[in-house]
Amino acid sequence: MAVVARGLRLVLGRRVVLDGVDVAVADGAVTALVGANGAGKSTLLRLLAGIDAPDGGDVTLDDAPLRQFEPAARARQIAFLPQQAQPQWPICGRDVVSLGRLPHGAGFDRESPADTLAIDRAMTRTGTAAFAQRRIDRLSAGERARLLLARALATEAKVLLADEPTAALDPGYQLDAMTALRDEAGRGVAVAVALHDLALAARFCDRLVLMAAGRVVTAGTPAEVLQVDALRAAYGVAFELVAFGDLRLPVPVSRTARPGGGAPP
Amino acid sequence: MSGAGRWWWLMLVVAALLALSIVVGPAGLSWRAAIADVLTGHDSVPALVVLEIRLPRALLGAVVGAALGMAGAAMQGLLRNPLAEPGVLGVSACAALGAVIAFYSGLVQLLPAVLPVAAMLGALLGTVALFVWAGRGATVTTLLLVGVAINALAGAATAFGLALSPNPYAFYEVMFWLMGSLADRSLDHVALALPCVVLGAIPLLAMRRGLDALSLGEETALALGIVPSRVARWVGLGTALAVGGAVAVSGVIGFVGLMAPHAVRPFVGYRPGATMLASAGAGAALTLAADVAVRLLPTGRELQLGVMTALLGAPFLGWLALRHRAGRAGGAAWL
Repeated sequence: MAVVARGLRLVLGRRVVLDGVDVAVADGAVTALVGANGAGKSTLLRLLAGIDAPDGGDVTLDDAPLRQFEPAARARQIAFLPQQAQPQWPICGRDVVSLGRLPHGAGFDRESPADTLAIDRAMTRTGTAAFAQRRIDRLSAGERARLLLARALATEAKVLLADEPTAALDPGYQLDAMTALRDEAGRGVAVAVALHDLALAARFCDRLVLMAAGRVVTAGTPAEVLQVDALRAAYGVAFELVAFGDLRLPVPVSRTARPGGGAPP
Repeated sequence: MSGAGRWWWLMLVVAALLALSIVVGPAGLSWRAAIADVLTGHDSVPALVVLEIRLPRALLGAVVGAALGMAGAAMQGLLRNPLAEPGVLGVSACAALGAVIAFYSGLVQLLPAVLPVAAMLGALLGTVALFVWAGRGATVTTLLLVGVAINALAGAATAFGLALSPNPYAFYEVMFWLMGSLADRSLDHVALALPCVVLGAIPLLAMRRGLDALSLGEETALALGIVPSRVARWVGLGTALAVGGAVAVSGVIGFVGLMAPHAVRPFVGYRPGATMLASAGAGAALTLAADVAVRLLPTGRELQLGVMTALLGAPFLGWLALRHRAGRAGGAAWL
């Protein structure tokens, strides 16, 4: 087990964002975090990435407490792709990806042959090689999302955490992005990804963790987790399971409850 | 991108303006003769003018401009805000306040060296106040807000000091000093400013990668193992030293820290770290050019340098903004 979290608790102000969360991200597998908006998926990913510290519980990386890592050492081991990574300057595509090598000591003007290789590999895998010299503000939202994914891949860390990497992508690129994550797992990387698309989660992920209100509802294989009752409890939505090959994919049908408890109008 | 060629161009421009700054002046002397006298060690009047008056002025222009340009680029990179300059975090305002206090306490009349020291102390105290007030692990937004508050406080305190001015003479002296000038400076001023600026440049340049990491926002920087609050602390310290040193010898020269980064950014691919170095060169060039201009303009009494940089800078910034608006429809924050 690459990253293991036990009894995570996080309180922001008076709101308990995470409460008693146990989760494990295994090497060579894709783990999906699913659940409604505000369920705590992004917060959990930040804790797993070690960029926030929990108020209770702990996170370990290969049995070593994450809080003992130097920031750069941690960043070499765990690549994290935030959901709202906003480019602040119109730097070019290759520069964006090369930032992924920063934890390895690379800079914009200083690249080792290993850095160059990793950057080129990441751009090839995400199909972004054509954007190398283009300014990031002149790319479409989908092209930008793929570049940012390439940035995370370029680190070549043993753990890859991605917060909704498919959100801005059309179906074709959604498939490409999920395939890229799958391929990383195939190379032995421990991958965890927050997803809203349950069909993608069911098709591309080995394990699902269903969250609601800062807690884990169920965790297991897609078939175990994607049950109508558990989904209704977690999302407040009635789902129907539709056969797709060997899988049964959930399709949202109607609201059964508003977040916060109200009945549907 | 032919990177190296552009750096040579920038150095060439700065060197040319340095030379121009030594050649141009109201004394109307033959600069060929003057330079020949300097090189042969002949103590003629032209040689003295060049060595004692123009050389310090040119060197100060380059040092002060480079400090302001670098600090401006560092602030813009840190806050990812195109309007940031050392003034935004209250550094310049606190330096000016320190100088005004030195004027009114009468210490300057007793010992002229108190003025630069007071300005530098002001800049350092302002920075310390900023980080103590914003607290440990403050986000960049918090720093920016607290900086604006400190800036306003220092500005108000300076205005209050001016209002209480004991006599018109002191009032004018402070007013002119606040507008910035490089006139009548000696090599002692260079010796005072240069170490501060160099000392400030070290942490700034060391944070180049940190600023680069912030190109994709604070969360990505954290994921890359860069702690934004740590970057902010070192950039704050470097800015205080560099700007404190600059304000101490030249007064407040506005707009250079704002303009220089924007002028060079497209040439370094918008990389924040490289912008800092290029902006130091551009700041030196801008300040030298403005300082040559105030000497050439037939305004009777020499125009204050801060006035000239604002006169040049405001239209330039407006032009940049218009070009930016024409270039793209989206409302991104950068120029």
